[in-house]
Amino acid sequence: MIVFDTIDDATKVSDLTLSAVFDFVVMTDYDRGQIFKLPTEKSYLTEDRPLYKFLTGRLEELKLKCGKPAFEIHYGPISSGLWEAGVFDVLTYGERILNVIPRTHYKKRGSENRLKGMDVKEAINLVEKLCGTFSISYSTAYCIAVEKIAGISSEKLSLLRILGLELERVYNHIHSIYRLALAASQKVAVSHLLALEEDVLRLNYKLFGHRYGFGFNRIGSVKLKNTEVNVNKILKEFEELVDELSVSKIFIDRLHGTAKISSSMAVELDTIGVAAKASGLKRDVRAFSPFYEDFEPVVSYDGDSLSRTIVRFEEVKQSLQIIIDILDSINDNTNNINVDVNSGEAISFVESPPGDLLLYLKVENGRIKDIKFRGASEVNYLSFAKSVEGNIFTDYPFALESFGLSFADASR
Amino acid sequence: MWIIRGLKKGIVTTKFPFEISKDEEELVNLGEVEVKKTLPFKKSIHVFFVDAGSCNSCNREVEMMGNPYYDFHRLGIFFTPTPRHADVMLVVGCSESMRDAVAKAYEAMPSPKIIIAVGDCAIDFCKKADVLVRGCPPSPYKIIESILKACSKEVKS
Repeated sequence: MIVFDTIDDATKVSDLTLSAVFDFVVMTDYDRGQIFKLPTEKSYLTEDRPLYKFLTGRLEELKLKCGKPAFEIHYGPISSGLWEAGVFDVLTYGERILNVIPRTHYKKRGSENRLKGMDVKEAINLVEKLCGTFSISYSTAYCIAVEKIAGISSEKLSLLRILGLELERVYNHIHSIYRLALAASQKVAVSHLLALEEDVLRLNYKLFGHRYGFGFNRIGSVKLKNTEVNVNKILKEFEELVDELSVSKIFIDRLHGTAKISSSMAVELDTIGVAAKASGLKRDVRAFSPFYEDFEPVVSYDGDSLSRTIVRFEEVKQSLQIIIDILDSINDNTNNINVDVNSGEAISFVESPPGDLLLYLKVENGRIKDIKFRGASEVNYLSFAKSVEGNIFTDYPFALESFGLSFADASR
Repeated sequence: MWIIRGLKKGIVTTKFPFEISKDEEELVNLGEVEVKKTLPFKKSIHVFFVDAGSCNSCNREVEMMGNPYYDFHRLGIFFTPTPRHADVMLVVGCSESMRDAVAKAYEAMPSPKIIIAVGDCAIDFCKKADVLVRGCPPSPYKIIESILKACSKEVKS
């Protein structure tokens, strides 16, 4: 994607998507594949957006002021349903959810501060552990940024990284579908989906030597143990499971109409990734990558949990097809480029499973001067919170799991 | 039809911890278990899972213990949503902001109780842990092994 240092026309800001708030504001045009850096003095143009308030921690302004009968529940940080440390402040009369505020700071490990001052090549060991389940997305974003600063790009390396990214998408999407099936008490489907996820994790182990891809990406190289694996079997099994699940009335009924985001709401909330694609907005950075051939994002239009699940169904098939194509085209897996990094700065965008991951990196004399990530979950937790308003408590897991978010991705 | 699909798929559950097949050997050895203290129980064991700010991969491996390959229920291991019913606390992660919450949850557990620290960062974070599972992340096999060893069961490894 092309990066512009400033926006000439201030009125144009309202048409762009707010992507991140660092020392400057990052705005994205998903139709043309352009990124704009908005300097601090112009950030007032975006201050009214709910996402700006959410990212800058002005959570009190997002809270609904309500009379006495409504009460607040703090759901988390240790709870059986979430599997992760995070809190949702839920305002309710008893059954209907009026307002939700996600609080992600329980997962804050201070990793970005620890990265500052580290050697660029050594830092990758920590970067890939910021969010374990999206590890390949994080390390790919970092490697792309470093290689951009060094002025190097390699087609073969990019293709192999796409292999990692797509496998990560596959197992995370299957995991989200499994969680939805679990919430709908589809125990047989749960077992089949979990077995399939384990198959993909073992495939990861065979290919990369690690179940979550730690150690896969290195600056200037990619570690690939083996390329002779059977992906067709997974694709066939997944297609059969989708056929079974899409005729299961209980499953479909629980998802249909739950946690709806209309396309105008998605524009207002700057929603990205799977949630945006389910509302009819083609927000996928893979569409602008020169290494994906004729990539067309999967789109659905209803914006409810069912739409998001359909997008996931199709994306898993699409990703597995991409993996099969890449594995067919690889002749030898030797790849090693010498990268000398001196000074510079770069922005990189990578499509992680729930949405795009953004990284801003500044390097001075081979050491990290400034590094800032913006995970997809950071943005989409707000969309989830707004989408679940007006739904009832039994809809809560169907709303949350359909977004496929992670607290580790939202707070590092 | 789900039933036909199930029959076609067959049994995928491994014989672990009683037997280890050739395919599993590599996966079984991802990690290392160290036991300092054991529980006086031998039959069923109830586990309370706490995330103390992990990177989410240990959480995923703990969740994967429930998949048909490992199926920890057959070994008498169950998750409980409340510390009041738990024998074992399974801790992953290392965020300082969770320290108070973890301490409170540990106090709420009835005695005898033990802590299992899963993953390298939890071992650093949780100095009081009675059973340590090294690995980043350790495989589900090793996590099951740690729970079984915590109640002095025989495990092949």
